[in-house]
Amino acid sequence: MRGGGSPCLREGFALRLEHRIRTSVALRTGLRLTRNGFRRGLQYRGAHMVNNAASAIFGVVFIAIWRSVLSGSAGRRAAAPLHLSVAWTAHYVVASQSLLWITVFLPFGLGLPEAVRNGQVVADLTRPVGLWALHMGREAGGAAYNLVYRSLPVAAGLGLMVGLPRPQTLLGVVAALALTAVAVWNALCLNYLVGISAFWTTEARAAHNLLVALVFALGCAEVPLRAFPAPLRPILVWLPFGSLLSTPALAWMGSVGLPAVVAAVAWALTLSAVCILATRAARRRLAVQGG
Amino acid sequence: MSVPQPETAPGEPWPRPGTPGPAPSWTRLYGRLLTVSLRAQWQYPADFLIGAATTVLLSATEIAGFAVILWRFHHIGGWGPAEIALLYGLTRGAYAVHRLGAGDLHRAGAYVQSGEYDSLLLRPCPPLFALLARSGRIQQLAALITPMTAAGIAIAHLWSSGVLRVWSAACLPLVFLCAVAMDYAVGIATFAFAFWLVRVDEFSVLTVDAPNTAASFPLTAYPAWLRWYLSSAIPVGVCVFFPLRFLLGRGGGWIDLAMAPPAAAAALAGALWLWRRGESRYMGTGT
Repeated sequence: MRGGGSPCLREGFALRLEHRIRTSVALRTGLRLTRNGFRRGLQYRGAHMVNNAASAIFGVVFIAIWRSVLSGSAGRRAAAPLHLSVAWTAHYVVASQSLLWITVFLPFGLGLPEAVRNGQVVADLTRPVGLWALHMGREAGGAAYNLVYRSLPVAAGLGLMVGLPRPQTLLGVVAALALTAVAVWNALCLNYLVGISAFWTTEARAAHNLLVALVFALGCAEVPLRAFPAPLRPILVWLPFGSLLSTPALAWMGSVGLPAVVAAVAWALTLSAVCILATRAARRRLAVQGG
Repeated sequence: MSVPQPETAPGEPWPRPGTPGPAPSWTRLYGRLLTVSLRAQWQYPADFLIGAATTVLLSATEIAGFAVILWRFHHIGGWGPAEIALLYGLTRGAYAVHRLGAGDLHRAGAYVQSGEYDSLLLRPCPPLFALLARSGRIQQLAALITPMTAAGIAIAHLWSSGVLRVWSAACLPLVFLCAVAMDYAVGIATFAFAFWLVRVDEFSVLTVDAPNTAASFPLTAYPAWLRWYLSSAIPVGVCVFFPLRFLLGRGGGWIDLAMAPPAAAAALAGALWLWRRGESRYMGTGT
């Protein structure tokens, strides 16, 4: 039988094939964007290594502060119910200080505000890859670069002084890696939302500063979750900011709770949906004023 | 390209041969140029207000983390909340004043990279002066709010508890001025490296931002190498921590207070020398 099957089946096969080709092209494009984002960072490796030294100084400051408050007998007494110790807090600072480079110090709005300002966004919207995928792919490469050339050197430097946090089991390692990936995803989504706000406002920079402030304060950058007042802790666990720093840091310490894991994954899904909806709204919002 | 230095006679900072009337003083001129740039930025009040609000929020969140530690443990490095608030307020306040008045100094790398520094060389005043008086950051006024509030509350508390006396309270403005001068010195010396390295933004985090954050807390909490870094290599601790330690009766001697002004003056002189050395290497971009 020529052609094999009914026209309806043939059409279904063609659609599936087209879908597979599109998925394959999208994946390859995404990987290429990520690779380019990674390569872009390589241009400034030397300068970044100098900055890593500064980042390590910040880490040493926080480690020293925790050591000073926990070293006395009164400090130990106050810390005992919270299960805080000098070594534990030092490891937490190592983890959180290293994570900063892949979840907090991302380019302002993933470069979208600049693209909106200079009109580049029009060309970006005509590309065969979506605006969200374009910026997420590109900056995922930047985050990968930051992981290799910023986070790991900072962790190594601080680890030489106070040791590295290590999950005790293989499952713990897998969970830590997965939650770190979720943290990067959530950070990219939040920064994308900051960037896409440039379609509606000229004050996207303020949104960026607000995001950084909230992540530092509510994401437990310097102070571990368990040191916060008890009524605040459940609130902090369910906010998205904890999924960027506190949750992956605690996962690397091997002491992350189930609610924090659920919250991180839930926020990843929610933020992805919001990013897609915001991109659609931004596309409708765009007005080209001629050339 | 050699740098043409304006030929100024002593007491005549604005060399305009034939211009009638007395020449304005450097301070007045600096103030006037800075006011003009601040007024220019004030043309966008909404931008200022939103930026100011986020600046205050950023510095408040910085304090919030340490407030949690102090609320639980009552001290850092043996210093109580009020003493730390005063140390933090003076250190961060001085830095905010420096950022407010340092204009485009922190963009020196961009000037060198783009060749825009050429335009400063043509002005009838030293290029560094022109750079400092340009684009004052009005939002740094907001950055002053949190440290000054912290310092004010701390002074009131320390005064009422008898830790601060008349003479020690009277010394605080001197400590603050020395800290501002030291921040200028560190900033000028750091960004002088732009003439050699061009891009110094990342380098400045190591020499300006990290030391300023570290110096906001008692140096006694830190390991020896970091204490050395903050008191010798980047001596921001010399102008606030050591004098304050003496004034609050936390140790040290009068020499800690006495050495702050000469240290700040020496650092400033060294930074200016470094800037001139760097400037003499400036080649322009040929555009």
